[in-house]
Amino acid sequence: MTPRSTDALRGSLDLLVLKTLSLGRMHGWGITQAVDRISAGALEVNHGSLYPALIRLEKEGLISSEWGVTDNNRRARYYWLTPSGLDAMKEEIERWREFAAGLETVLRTS
Amino acid sequence: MIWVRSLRTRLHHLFARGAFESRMNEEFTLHIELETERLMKEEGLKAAEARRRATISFGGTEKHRESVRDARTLSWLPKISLDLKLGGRLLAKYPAINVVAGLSLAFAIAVCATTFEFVTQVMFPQLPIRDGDRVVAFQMNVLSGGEQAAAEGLTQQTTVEDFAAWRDGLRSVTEIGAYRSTWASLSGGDGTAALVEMAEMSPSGFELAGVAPIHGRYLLEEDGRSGAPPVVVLGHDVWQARFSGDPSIVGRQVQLGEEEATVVGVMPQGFGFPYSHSAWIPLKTGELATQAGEQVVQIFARLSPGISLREAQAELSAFGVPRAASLPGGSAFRPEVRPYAQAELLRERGVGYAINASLILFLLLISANVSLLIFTRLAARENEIVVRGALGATRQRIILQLVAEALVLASVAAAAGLAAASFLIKSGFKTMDRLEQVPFWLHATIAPRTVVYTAAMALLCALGAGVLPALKMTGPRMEKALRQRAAGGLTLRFGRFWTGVIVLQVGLAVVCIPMVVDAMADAVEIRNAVRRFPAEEYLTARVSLATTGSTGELLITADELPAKVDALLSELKLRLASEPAVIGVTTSTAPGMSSERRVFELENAQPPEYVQRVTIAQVDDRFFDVLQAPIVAGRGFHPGRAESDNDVVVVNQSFVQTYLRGRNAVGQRLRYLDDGPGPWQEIVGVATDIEMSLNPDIPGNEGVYHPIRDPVRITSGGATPTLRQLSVLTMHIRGNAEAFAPRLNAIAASIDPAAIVFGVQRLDELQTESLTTRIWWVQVAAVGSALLLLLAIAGIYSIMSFTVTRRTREVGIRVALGADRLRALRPIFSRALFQITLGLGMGVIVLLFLRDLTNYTIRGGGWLAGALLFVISACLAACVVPTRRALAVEPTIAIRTEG
Repeated sequence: MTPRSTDALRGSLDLLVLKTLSLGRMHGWGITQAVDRISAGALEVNHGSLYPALIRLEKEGLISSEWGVTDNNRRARYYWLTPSGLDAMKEEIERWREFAAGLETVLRTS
Repeated sequence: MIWVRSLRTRLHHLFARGAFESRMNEEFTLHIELETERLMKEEGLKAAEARRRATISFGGTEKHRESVRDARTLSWLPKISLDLKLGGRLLAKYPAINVVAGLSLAFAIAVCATTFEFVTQVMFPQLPIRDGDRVVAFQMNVLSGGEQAAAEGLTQQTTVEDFAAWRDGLRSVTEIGAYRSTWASLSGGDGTAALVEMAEMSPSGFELAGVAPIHGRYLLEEDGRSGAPPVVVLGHDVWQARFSGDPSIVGRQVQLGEEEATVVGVMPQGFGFPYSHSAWIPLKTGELATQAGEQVVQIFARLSPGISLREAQAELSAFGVPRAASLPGGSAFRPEVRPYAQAELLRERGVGYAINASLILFLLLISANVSLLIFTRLAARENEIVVRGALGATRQRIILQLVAEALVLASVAAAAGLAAASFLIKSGFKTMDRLEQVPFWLHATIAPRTVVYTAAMALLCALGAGVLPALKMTGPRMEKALRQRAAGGLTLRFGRFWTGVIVLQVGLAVVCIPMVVDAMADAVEIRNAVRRFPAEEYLTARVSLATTGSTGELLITADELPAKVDALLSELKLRLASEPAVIGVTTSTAPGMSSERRVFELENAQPPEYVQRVTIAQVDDRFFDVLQAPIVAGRGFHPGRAESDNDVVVVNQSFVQTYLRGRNAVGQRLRYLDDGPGPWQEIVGVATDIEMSLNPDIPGNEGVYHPIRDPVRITSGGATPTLRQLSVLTMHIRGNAEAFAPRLNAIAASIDPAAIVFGVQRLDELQTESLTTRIWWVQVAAVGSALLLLLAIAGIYSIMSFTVTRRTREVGIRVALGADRLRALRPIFSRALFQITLGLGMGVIVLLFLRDLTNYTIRGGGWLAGALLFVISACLAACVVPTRRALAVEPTIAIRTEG
């Protein structure tokens, strides 16, 4: 499947980040790889755009971060989901599903 | 909690900027490296190619850096700080324009801040005592039947009887107290005596104030009982000035008037309750309560807990005035309770708001004028701003930048304005304090609210001076400007709006400068008049007697007072005349500064075409010799109140020249017409001219002297009458006049220990002090007018200079084609001339309109013409430098000039 345009993705980048971090602590590059892997290449995040989103989510208290060390002994900034972030993610998923369902209904109409 | 975490993160982003940037760089670098390694491993790319692909997939690093910075807390803050730094650099780059603009703004802000501080202190006074906002004062209104009340001997002010009745009867107020002011001579630690204003106050006044003394105690109830030994509480300033701050002052005996009193306490600095008093003695209540309404006092109290002013007024109205109960209906004594520190002048708060609002308008006017200078400064940066817009800067961003630059200028101006305001307030209070007592709750300092107000004014100035030029520079014209710049054409124009601003500036200068020149000429005349006469060799003083003792008992009645003061003065003059240091001594009314004018007519003279007025003064027989105005025809006055001096006057030489055309004045008769034709007064002598009055509003120096009759006049009744001191004791001193003051006090005290000598100062100081306020305002107005003119000059110069620069190429082409240089400059010059002429015309029309509206008269057409010429010259001078620059343009160079 070819990677989709990121226009629609940009609006849901925050949701992608929250969902990915709900799977575990990751650094920024790790998040992009996880999204690519989980979506089987269907979704491709613009790598540079990720970091403003991370800063924004951290400012809002939905994620936290700290310096850590990678497997190959490199210093990296690790992010994880906070309890507030978890609640926000659940709300956002619910909203996204409602939106998708509504969109589906419209698209089915002939 | 989420908000705690969020706040912590935001604060970290805000204050650990360096660490944040470092983190961002490190994350970006790691990301690209990891992606490079993945590409090398999974796709077998070489390192360089993998890195290239990783960088491309990451996207523009700088763009993402900006995005990350924007996502930070207060991301606009660093941008603003850059703009402010640029604004600071621009201050140095255009010093002339910035100095003119800055001074103008600083002046306007200083005037606004000074007025705001003064008006708010008066409108919203804060008594620096316990629960000051709940302290009230009582006053009496007589709505009708006043004559009947007076006939019954009932004074129409609050009295001791009222105090006693309300203290016992009212429940809506507590800690009710009373006081009256009195003056007494207090001998200091060095034995010299000086006058102090004392409050005879009930002890409840101290309880109400709730301010503890720094030494000893304050007055108690037993101090006011009959037979109690005399005591006094000193104010801080008196304690410092008269007793050198002696900490062992409590218990000491001091001479207070003619009695000795024991100092029982010292109050802290700044305490002056009830008004601006320097010492306190007991107000006797037991004896005073039995006296039949003869003693006027001021009454104060505190509202009881939970009681409003309205409720207190209702109770007071219902309670009434028991001592007036015997009056038949038709006489209405209405007592009123009001906030204690409320000033009558600004009782209607609308007055204060109107004053502040009009000054804000004045500030905006100045800002609009300054905006022209900022616009010309911006015009030189047109390229930079147009290119910034082309590179993606939004209009809002550019406007914000330009306003930030104006804010730097306004902030510097505000700081200077605040410093100037502080100086103005201190000097204003000093002047007020010399002329009349300033209540203790007003202070000569800048309150924090005024600092906040000044900051707001700075912001207003920045918006007023920065937004308009910014709007003119940006917007739809930016794109057009970019195209025109690409084609090498002219872009920026100074349109009708800026023409209007220049015209307004010139017009304002034309209106203000003649008035200020006129007033300054008056001030110079005053100073010259003072200097023409050796007034510094003369010492003046006023003399009176204490009417109550240090224990509050009545010493002299109102009827006795004038005669006793007269006797004191006569004896004092005799003693002074025999002093070696005294050349001569005299008494008169306001020497050289009389403002009493009367309408008169001369007997056997043609009816005059206009109303004849003359300045009059009352003098004794020694006046003409002592003040060096000898009699040149006829005679002066006889010593004492001789019968031969009834209905006689002496005139001065100016009077003879003006009204008698030099004819012999002796034997002529005149009479006053103000209240109907008065008795004829015979002119018995002519005196040499000296200044009758320094008041510049009084034209001419024609004067009439009368023999002095009453040195003291009583102007209100009661046992503590208000004295109107008519006579000033004037002594011609050998050597240093001021050094004679202690000797004067000593002589007066030796004649009568109850003598009060006050207002001792040199004659030149007395004369200029009477016009101090006027001179002070003239100085402020002069500075303001000079700045207005500077603004006009700077504006004209800036526009001319800019226009010459922009049209250099055009001028060069014209000259190259054979045009005369002056003709080539005509289009540029004619515009400036048009603006100046329009401004002059507008200013003259407004000036003439104001003259008719307010009856303000400008002294002679010469002054007005001179002032107008000065304004024209100044404006034309602003055109000289740019014109000379244009004339020096070489055509070959000009043709190559861009734009």
